[in-house]
Amino acid sequence: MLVTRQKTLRKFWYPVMPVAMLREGPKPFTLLGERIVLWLDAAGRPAALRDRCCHRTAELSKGFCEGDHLVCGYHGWTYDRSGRCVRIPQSLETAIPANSRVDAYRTEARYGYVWVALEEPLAGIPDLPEAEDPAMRHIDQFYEVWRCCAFRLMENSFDMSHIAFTHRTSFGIVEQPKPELMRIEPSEWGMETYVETPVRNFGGVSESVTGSSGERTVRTMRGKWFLPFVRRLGISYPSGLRHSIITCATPIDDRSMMCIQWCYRSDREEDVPARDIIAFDRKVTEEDREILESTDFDVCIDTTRRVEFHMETDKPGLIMRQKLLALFRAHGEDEAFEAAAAPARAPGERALV
Amino acid sequence: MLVTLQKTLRKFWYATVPLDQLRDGPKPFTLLGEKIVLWLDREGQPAAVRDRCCHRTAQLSKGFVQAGNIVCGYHGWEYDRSGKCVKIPQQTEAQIPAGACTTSYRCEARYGYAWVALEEPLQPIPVFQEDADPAFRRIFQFYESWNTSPLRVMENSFDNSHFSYVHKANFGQFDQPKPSKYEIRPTDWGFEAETIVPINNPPASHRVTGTTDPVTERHLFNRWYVPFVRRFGCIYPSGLHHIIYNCATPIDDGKLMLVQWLYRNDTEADCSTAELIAWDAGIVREDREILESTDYDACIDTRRRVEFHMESDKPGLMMRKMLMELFQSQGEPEMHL
Repeated sequence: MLVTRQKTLRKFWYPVMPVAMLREGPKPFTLLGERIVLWLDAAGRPAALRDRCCHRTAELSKGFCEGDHLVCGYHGWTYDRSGRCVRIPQSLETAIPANSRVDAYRTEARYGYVWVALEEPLAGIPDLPEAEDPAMRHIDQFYEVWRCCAFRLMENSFDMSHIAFTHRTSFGIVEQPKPELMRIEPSEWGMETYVETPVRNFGGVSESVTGSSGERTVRTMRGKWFLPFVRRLGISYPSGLRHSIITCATPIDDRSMMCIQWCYRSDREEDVPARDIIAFDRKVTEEDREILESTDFDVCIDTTRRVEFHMETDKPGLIMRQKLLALFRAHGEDEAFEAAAAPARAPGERALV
Repeated sequence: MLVTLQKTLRKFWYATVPLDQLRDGPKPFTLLGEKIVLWLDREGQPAAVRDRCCHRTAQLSKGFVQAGNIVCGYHGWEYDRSGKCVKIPQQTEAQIPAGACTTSYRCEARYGYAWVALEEPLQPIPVFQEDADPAFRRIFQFYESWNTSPLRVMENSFDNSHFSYVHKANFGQFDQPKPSKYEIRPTDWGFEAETIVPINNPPASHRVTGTTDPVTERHLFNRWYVPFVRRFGCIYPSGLHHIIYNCATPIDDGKLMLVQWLYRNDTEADCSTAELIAWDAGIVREDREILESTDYDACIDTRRRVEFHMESDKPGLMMRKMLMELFQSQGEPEMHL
């Protein structure tokens, strides 16, 4: 699946950037291969346009904000949030040429992030009950580029089998490779999962983060997948502690994604400082990243092509493949993929004459 | 010549990873553009398979070795040295799906390295007689990746004309740019080249050459082994042998791994390993600097007239000719940009 060529993926909301990052000025982001510029208007509402001035094609993200507007850093052409050019400072007396505008995209601020949809969205921004729950605190965890397909991270986050191996030096139990059975309920826009699993309480900050002592503890995990690339994982421990992780794999292009993760905790900063929570999930996330960045970016979702082998416990990932493929087909497209695996070439290598 | 596109080059043995590096776990290596993983099996013998798990495509080199098999670090699928998946730890009762495997390659331990051939080799691994000779000690000198084509390294190592310039700060005699001539004897799979070269012998090289004379000479008995291995057989008047083997193992079109080791018939007390590495390091650095500045798509079909030539380029021209003939005999033309 080459995400930039699946047009249906343009019809979803994706978190792209923490709102706070925009307070210092406009910022670029590439979403599904499309270069966009984000900024905040005078009321603090996020706006998103194509990152290309209609005058001399300069990136608008090199410019600056002025009131409600975005000003190009090359000649000062000024745009409103609808993408219309509202000012050409060199010719204030003449009319602005008709059609001098750039594409604008839907944006919303939610959960501390700017969300963007390139086209009319098929589904809303995922609802997160924790966000409204005064008993839960919000902790921003990760915002970083991963060199892999967004799908890989989604599949991985519902994959119980990898824990024993990928996380064998953190919380995985390599001697117990057979995972607990996961209950899966597909829904219209994703699926819900439930599983209880023993985990290793791996020392360091682990005990305070899990709220449990001893070598082993049990995680009760309620997962929810929101098509295409958002998941919520509600973890609760026997201590009663609740830890909900929101992981978004926002597709940048065919080979890379932005890993955006935050969490909600039922304890207080005085109980466990946010930096310990981040450190705990950091190690686990690095283990996933190391492996996922080594996989083929052109992940095969049409299993009839037989590119990968599967096993029983791959069920969540197989359901995801089926649902994505069904969604694409319902919108008149098939899986887009590289026709034949090209031989590995040096980066930047030129084509043959 | 774009090495990754010359299929014939897949039919040779190449030195890849030092065996010592495999003792602490599997390692990745890219050979002629193909990503492979190497590890040591239960007998301590190196094994090589394609670096891609057939389950979720993760690189096996991120995994670990268990009872001589390579285990994927993602879900623990386990492969033997033939590339067959022999264990799926999540379903040990169920049958392993037919066809669950990854490509395996011929792999052998020799001279301290894992040698790999991607396809049925046309020639065996070259025999280096010093390795079995108790009069010699073996010194690993260099293992570093260079941004150039392996032909450049091979050609350079038989090129007597570059000493006076590239190595002028070293043993090269800048005021004597006319090189001594090689006597070249072609063999079936390369050639032998003999010559005597006068060299400067500054105090820093006295222990290397075994003499304190201000000028000495090298009696060179060199060999080129098709495609990218060469022997530098140097005998000094002092009786010291300084025999270097280097392999310019092709990583991809613009990159190679320089694998170089040395045999000496003296002792550590006569001239230490550190001293010998330091001595050749200076020379190797000078070569690298120049060779990395050349086109990696080295032209071997001289009729294309991409480069100019001179009399002393003969060894390099013979290499081009022999490679061209080899490719043609295997039914392929030179591949180039």
